[in-house]
Amino acid sequence: MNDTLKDKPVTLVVMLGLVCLLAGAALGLVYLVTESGINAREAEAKRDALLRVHPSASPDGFKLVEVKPDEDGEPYTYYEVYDKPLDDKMKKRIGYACEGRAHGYSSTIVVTVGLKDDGDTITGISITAQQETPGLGANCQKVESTEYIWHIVVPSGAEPETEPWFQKQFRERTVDSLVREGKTYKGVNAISGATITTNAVVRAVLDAVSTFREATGMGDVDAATSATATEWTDESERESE
Amino acid sequence: MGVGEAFAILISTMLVYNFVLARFLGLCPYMGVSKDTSSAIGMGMAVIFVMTLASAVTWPVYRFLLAPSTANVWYRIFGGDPASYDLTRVLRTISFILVIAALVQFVEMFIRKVSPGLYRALGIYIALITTNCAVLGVAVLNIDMFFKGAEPVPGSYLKAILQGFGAGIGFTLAMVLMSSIRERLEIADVPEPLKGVPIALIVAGLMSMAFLGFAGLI
Amino acid sequence: MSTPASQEFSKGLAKTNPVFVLLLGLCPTLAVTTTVRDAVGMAVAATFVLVCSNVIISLTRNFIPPRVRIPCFIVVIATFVTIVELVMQAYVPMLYKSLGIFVPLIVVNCIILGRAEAFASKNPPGASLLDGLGMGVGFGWALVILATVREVLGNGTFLGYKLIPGFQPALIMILPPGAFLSLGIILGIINWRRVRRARRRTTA
Repeated sequence: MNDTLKDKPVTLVVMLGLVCLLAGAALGLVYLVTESGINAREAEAKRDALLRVHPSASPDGFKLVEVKPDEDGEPYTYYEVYDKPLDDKMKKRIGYACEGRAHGYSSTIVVTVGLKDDGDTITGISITAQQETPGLGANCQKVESTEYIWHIVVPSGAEPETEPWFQKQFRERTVDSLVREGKTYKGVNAISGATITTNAVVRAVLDAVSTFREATGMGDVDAATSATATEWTDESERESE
Repeated sequence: MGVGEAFAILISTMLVYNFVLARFLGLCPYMGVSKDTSSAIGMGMAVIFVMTLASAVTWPVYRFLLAPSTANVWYRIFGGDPASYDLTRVLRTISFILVIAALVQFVEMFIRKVSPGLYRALGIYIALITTNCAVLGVAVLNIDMFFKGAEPVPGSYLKAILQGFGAGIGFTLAMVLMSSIRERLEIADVPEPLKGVPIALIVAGLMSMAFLGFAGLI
Repeated sequence: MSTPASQEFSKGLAKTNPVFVLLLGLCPTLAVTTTVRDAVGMAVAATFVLVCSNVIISLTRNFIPPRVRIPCFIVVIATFVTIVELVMQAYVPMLYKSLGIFVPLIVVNCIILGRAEAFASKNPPGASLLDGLGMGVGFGWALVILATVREVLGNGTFLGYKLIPGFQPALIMILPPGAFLSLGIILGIINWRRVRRARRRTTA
């Protein structure tokens, strides 16, 4: 192209515009191809997260329920869990899934809790957000790998571990059995060196259940809320992490 | 947004999650410009300015031009279903980087007019702010933290600007600390293989370790 | 001609390695090397963007006016980065989540803009492709080296597989300080070897 033509402002604008147009066209094309895949993956991720707390549910058996508050505020949402897909007329409700949060050592811990139909027995928990100390509190999400490097050549034959051990222990426990015992909760295996994070996870679980019970009027509200009322205020109880 | 929350955002971006020492953003200029303190301060000022402006401009771009909500400008013009105007995945990166490039041009012209001495001292580094990971990084981080899907969290515009400002200050803080140490390293007896960038990286590692102590503050 | 072509490729591996020699692209180098898997993912993504943008910019180098070349380069690079983002979200969403904000940050990776400005805008497409490939692979194996050190020492695993039974990893290696320290020491070792080789050559 002629050198003097290149410096004309018109040429600058036209060329830049052309580049942008072509870029936009290329992007539009790629998006057309990938959009359905991306949406499918997002839906799948949401479903897997819920299935993790309610393993016996049907993958399409989660129904989102919204509870509007009396005054102006955020509507509270939870899931009703069924054993068959939502459009199946023979489906039976097997429980609920709700979310709770509590402040841990250095972040807010968000937990999804799966409950049986009685609103008391936990079918599983899943920690969905945390930014605790790596190597200590963050181990609440750690999955213990059992595969050693030689297992690439000689398979160990064992089922690979997919659930963090800390979250696994909550399965089949009742909410009412989570009572405070000394510095920790009764029967809860703490993460070594991370008592604050351990207790925060339990508080998040109790928060999930008590908010759920309050919003739906189910179960014994007092039992859950009395457990969450025990906040640690004594500074000497703060372990260094 | 209360004073407590504003304070928490500032402390978190300046100290706890320092952009350079904890998030690894802005490392190229960090290694390149931190050889002496005066240019480090000058570069830091320019970066604070650009990061705050970038946060202030990219938020409305995302909210009104890209996100599929009823506030979307294209929806207002063309009607239809607001959810179908989802340009977030396709145009976010391009629009943000173009906004930043334009902002850096303006800042460069501004510095040239206001302080020719600083302009000469910083030279090519002002234009390089465009490729500073920290600027695009804070813009993307603002969207991740202060938007729930397509709707912004309450008070999010101010929070985003504050985060941009705090991140810039954190970057400047790390740069000034590094430059004062490097000035002393110039006259210290550093082993030959470690002279220059290697010892600077090791110093950065030690500083990063020190900043780990801020964890749990918020 | 085969020799110059292979040199266009190989110079990115050792002599002008973008990370260890040119010291470009440090942000992703330190950030995504907590596991080897993430390092490989980032390397593949960055190499794809580098090669594609090098080729496109080289093909259009005679049409783009010099005054707007930087914005044009940015648009081209950002387009390919967005393509990578979309493809990753559709096919490898776990990797996309691991890499986090560093996928869109590929657009400001100094290596890509640097090669576009210094090489692709002045050379034919074939050479630009090889240059991009060489730089990309060089970037990749620098990332893998750093990631191996950090994952083995900091997590006791390699690609997710545990290595030594009963090994207690040094957590600091997968935290930010470990990244800085590892890279600093690796660069120091590279310098030491270069100094020793030069000294041997002069005394020989």
